[in-house]
Amino acid sequence: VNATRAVRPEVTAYLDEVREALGDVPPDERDDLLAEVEASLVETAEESERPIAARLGPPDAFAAELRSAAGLQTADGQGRETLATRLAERVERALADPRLARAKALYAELAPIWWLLRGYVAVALIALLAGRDWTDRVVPHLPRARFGAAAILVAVVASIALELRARRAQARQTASAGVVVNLVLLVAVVPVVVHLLHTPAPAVVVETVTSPANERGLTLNGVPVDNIYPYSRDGRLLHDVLLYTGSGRPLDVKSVAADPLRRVPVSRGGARLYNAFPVRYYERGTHRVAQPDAGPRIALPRFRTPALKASPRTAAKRPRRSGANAARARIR
Amino acid sequence: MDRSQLLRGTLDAAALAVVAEQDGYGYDVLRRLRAAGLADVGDASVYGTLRRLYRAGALTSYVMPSDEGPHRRYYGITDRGRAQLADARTIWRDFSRALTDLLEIDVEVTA
Repeated sequence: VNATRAVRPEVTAYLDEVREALGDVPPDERDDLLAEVEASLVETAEESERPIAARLGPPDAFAAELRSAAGLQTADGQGRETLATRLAERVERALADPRLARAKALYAELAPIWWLLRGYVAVALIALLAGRDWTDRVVPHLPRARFGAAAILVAVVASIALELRARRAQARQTASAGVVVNLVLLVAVVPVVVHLLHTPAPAVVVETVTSPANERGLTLNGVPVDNIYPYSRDGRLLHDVLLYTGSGRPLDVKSVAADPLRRVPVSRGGARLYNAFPVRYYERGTHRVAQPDAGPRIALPRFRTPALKASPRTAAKRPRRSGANAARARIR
Repeated sequence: MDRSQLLRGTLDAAALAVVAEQDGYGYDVLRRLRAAGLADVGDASVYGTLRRLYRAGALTSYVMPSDEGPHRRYYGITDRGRAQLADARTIWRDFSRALTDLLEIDVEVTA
């Protein structure tokens, strides 16, 4: 056993004083630091006969230098401060992660998109927290959609303005505050997106005013009638049946007259017969009706009542000459 | 110019460079720094710096038994430490070039 292997009392005394000066440092951290120092002191003591304090300075100064170089808190803050220090160290370590650096680089490239997006997210978050309605899906109502839209515009402009100012100032303090705001908004993206995905599509309410007084054309209990299917008593669908009211007015269905595909029969005199039923439609680009016998799904009743005998006189009283002639011709 | 102020700002890089070259324990790093010309570097500064770099993840550490006294805590450089060292090199290169230019112009003027 070599004599120099034993720790000299001088070294122990010096270490004790350093330890005392580091009284507020968390024990495990302090022990690690002192173990480091001790090993070195032992080694230096072997190499030199000069007193330790002469080489290393007073223990207090040594402890202060150690503390400062190790980035430890000063003696003012006790337990709470050291907890904060540890937390800060953790954060510092996490921030030094190369993956974070890559993420930062990506963020820098995508930042302008985020500046726009976060303005919207900020407004959407406020709307969410306030429990506002988003009936038109994208723009929150504050309390109306146009105020929501205005708020988004303001938020986006403010977002860009803040970013530009921060870049110019390059103030660390505002930058870290910005990081917190960005993180909050980034997290807020989740509920906002969830909300957007779960908001049902707005129901398109097309109000159809069916007031009989205002309704032009033929109606049934206020509902416009746009077609009539006349059947003969033996169940045949009749074509081009002309309908008239008691006063002789044609029962026109003009509400569908605008349809260019509608087949509007024309009289020999050139009159358009809007009261010819059933109304038929041409195939697009042709003058052909694909299914002339198509009709509503109905169960036709069978007649018990005997058929009326139409007299030639009644037929002659028809207002339209052409129709009357045709009837006469048929009857004769 | 105050050497100790300069050292304070550059000791991290110097310690990382020494450990990057070869793993070392506290006193060993100190000796190598001094041998490299930083004669006035303080013991406590080096030990504290090593601990801080270790806590920051720039260094890793392991304990090796020693015949001549207490166990020695060796430090090795990590990827993070290498990245930090690379950054420091760039900064130092630019800084020293700029300062060299500035100071040497000054010398010529006063000479």
